Amino acid sequence: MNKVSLNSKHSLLEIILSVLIFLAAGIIMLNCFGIARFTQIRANDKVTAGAIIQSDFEIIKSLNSTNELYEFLNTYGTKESGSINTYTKYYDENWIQGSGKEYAVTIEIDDENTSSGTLININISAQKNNPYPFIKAGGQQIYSIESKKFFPSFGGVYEDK
Amino acid sequence: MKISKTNVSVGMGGTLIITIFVVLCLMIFAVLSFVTAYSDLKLSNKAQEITADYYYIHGKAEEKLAEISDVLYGIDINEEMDNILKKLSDIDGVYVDEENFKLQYEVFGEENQKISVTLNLLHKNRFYYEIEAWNLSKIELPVYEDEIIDIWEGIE
Repeated sequence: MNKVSLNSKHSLLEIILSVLIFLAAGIIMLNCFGIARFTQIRANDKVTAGAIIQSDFEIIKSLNSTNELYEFLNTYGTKESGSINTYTKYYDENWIQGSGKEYAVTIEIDDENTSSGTLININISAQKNNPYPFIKAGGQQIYSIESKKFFPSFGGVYEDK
Repeated sequence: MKISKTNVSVGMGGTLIITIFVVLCLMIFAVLSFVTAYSDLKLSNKAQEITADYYYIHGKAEEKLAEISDVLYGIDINEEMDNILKKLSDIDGVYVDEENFKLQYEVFGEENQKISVTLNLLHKNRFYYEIEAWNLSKIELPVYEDEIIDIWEGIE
């Protein structure tokens, strides 16, 4: 009958060392995977927020009067009036409007009356309500665009071709 | 019964080498996934910069339009043409095409893009404008040098 014996003294020491190395490396790796995942989510959020903001901006650009502008802005869920009017709509974590408050898209409107019309300062931004885990830099602002739109009281239309 | 005893030594370092190999592989995967995600973030940041710059110059062009509209609003329809043209050419950065009675101006962005605007000047009981062109274009186009390749022209 054959009897096999292992040198357990050496093996135990090695296993303890391996576990220690794996633990140390594991902490670094998990952090790295975590940062990578949330960096990817942040990049995707930027693309989605950009698409939503640009779409809203193009709608505003196509409007012909301040009345049409305010009619469009009333489709936004929340409104705060003041010297600058603020309109906000909320999205859930999958960027579906109205079913959660993970993301917010805000339009700030500041009217400036001129002698021949109204110049509107527009600031559209997207924010995340909860900060991204693992990522310290960047803050909760995802996307921001600033522009102006002039609504003349007379003329100003595109030439008929 | 005869018992034969065999001493098997796994050897110092076998487990350690396997652990280090696995850890290194996982480390490479972690770094690669981070690098991929970071490149995506850089790309979306760049896209955002260009988009924000476009809307900024669009806003500047609208601001200039408001300035022109105010000047046109202040012009009396019975004023002399020379006086009208002088008032229009006094607007900073605006070119007056006296022959066709048009105004042109450009707004430059920081991301190699500009908006060129052409306005037709019209009047009924007062002067007003009509947008003829509102074009976004590059400020500088890249210059590619022609590469001349000698090819065999065949036998005459």
